[in-house]
Amino acid sequence: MKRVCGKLNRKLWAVALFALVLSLIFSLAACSTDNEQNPENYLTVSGQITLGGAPLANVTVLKNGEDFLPAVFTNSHGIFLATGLKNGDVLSFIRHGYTFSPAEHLVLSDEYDLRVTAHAASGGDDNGGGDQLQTFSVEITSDYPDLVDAQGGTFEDGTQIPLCAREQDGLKFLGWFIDGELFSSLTDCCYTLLQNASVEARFVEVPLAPHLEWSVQTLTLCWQAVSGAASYNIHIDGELFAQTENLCVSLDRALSDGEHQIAVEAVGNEEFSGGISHPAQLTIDVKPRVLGAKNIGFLQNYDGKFLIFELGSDADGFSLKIIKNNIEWGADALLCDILEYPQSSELTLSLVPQAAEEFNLNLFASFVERQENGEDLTVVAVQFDGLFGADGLIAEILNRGGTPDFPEPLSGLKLTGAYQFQVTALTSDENFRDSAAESIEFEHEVRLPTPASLVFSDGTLTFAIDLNSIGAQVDDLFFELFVNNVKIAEVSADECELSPELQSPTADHSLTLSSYFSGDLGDVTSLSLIASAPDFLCSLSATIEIN
Amino acid sequence: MRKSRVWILIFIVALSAAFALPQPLFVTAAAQTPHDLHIEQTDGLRFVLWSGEEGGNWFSVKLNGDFIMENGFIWSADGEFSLEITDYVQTPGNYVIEIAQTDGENPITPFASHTFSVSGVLEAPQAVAVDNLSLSWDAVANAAGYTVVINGIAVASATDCVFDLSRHIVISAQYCVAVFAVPQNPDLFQNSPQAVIWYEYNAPLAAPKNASIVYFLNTYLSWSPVLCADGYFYGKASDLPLSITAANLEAAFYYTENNFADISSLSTGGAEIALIARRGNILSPVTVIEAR
Repeated sequence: MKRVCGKLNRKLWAVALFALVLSLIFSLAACSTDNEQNPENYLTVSGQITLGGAPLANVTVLKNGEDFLPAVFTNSHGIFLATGLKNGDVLSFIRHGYTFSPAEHLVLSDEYDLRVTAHAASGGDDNGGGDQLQTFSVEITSDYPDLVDAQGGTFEDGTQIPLCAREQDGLKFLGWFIDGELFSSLTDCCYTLLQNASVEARFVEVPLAPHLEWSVQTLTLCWQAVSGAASYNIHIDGELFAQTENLCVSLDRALSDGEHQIAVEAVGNEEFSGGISHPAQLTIDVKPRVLGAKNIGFLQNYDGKFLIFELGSDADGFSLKIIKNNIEWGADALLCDILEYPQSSELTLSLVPQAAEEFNLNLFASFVERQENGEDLTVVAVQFDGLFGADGLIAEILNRGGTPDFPEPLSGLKLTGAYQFQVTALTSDENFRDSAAESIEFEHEVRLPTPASLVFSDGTLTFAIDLNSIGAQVDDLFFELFVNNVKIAEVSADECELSPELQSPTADHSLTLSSYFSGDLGDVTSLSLIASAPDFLCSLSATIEIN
Repeated sequence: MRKSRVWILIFIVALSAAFALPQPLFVTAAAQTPHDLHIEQTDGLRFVLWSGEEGGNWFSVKLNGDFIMENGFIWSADGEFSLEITDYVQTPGNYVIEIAQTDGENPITPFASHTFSVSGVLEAPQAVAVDNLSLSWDAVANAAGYTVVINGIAVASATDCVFDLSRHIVISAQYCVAVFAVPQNPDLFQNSPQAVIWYEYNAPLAAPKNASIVYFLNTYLSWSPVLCADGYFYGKASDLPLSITAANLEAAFYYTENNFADISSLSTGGAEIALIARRGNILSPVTVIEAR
């Protein structure tokens, strides 16, 4: 008996010890909440709800008629703990099939032994003391079930149903809808089952996130077009930097040296109702540039035409681009591959985008060293006069027009006009990046050939013109007609019956003077012609004296 | 009163009454309204001529309603009369001349009228000048417009007193530029004589292009050749003469016939370099290059 009692006493001591530890934990939790989470002295209320003297579990405690977040409900001992309360808050209790006394409790101070009695409402189940619990069914639905992690089924009244969803590229989570009404926009939340319910996870289609390409050297951000995107939002370090319809944006001027967060969102078109994609994100590190090419200019002397520029000692090489309209040739060269003047190395500039070899430009480069103010400089000379002229590289390329592999971008190229030479200092040092591009423009002018073999007979002037001698196609050619050195008319090539097969030095072209001159032919002492065309310098004048 | 004095008095009264009587008492049966009025011009003088009563030598003459002669005596032995009116018809225009025979004090015939025109030649345009291929002249009275003739070729009609020659003068040469006025009313005026001016046109030189200063073994200034240029002046832009003429540039600037120059000795010190093409005294616009 003593042993039994002894055992019983030990059990009682153990229960008492457990209760003490539990109360200490509650006290500590309460203190902790007061001290750490309730800096404004929030109040705490705990207590027990019983039904017929037995604990009643799964009773939801509401604050001012609304759920706590996270929800507060009674455990299997009927005990609840509500924290974060303010003076004047009203607690109430809800469980389907029960009423409570008191129905509401006004919070005025911390309380740790609130006693609430439950009563079975008419028709409600009495689960107190082991009574049968009421059950409800919940149905989880979604157009994208793969993105939803929640189980439907039949559960006891008050069961917390965890709801978890995830987004994927092209789909954004809209929210959890219970019986058609928005319950929560959070992907992860819980729903307390109090009645039969239908829970739907809704998603909305948005454009896919763009795939970003980042150029460390040029600080250019590019991406491929996203289907259904009307424009793109570019964010730098969390701030909207630009909205653009382009697929590339230069961030050269927007970024300081150092690390930055870049994000691009595709903004949907009408099909997507303007929905915005998930952001495509990049972390970039902008490194300082090396010094750019200096003293860039041209040297034209007996030896030819040269592009001259100077590179600082921190440059390992240079990138040269020749740009005309939207057509670009480019090459990267390392200084160690260039020979010192008076020797020279071939420099091949490829068409961008790359085309067959015959559309490349082959130039020659050399360098000399110099010092300026104690700084070592490399002076690079790129000879480019081979580009121009009737036998020049550009004319050769243009002569290939119409061949099957003739690159489409070249179809609009004209020999004459402004060429932009762009130089960038290159570095292989990981702690630096290439310089900004420096550029200079060279205007290549072409003079039309002078009309030749002028003959005036029976009121008709015949002449020839050798357009092949300039190596360029001439559009909209016309002739200025002069009588006695006085310009009287501009005659289009068509009127002279000029046609491609006639554009040879031997062909004769003719114009009838009376079509342009109403005066007396007896007053005419000389006739002259000047060839003209847009984008070309006019020819010298050709004159025939009339007896 | 003596009887002889009474008769004298009666005679005087009768004579006075006779003068006071209406004219027809004096008109003979042969009085004729002047006719066959016409205008003749001889040796730069204009005359109006008409036929009238033989011996009826008193006339009143009106021009455009104003008397130019009133009760004037014109002698004629055969009834053919003439009156010089040159001074009254100096201005070209339409005129109406009216002539009536008088008795020395009053017309004794109705006025006969004749309408005639006097034409003239427009004055030649004055102050003809060419400035920067713009031809200008002073307006001419009664001119409807002007015709511009270059080297004997009528190139255009103008209504304003200015004409842009650049459409017709392109080639460097000497031009004979003439302009004459065309009348509003060709019945009254003839074209004016031509006002002629000789004009030497020198096509301008283009400014040098693609000019730059670079260092390659030496410091060079180079540029693309300018068509028809004999040579080029170059120097510091700050040394440009106030009046940019070939003579002034010869004194202040360097000169080369090439399209490049070694300017190592020209201490630029970051100064701007000016470059000018020349052909004789013709200068191109100035190209300024920043020395880097």
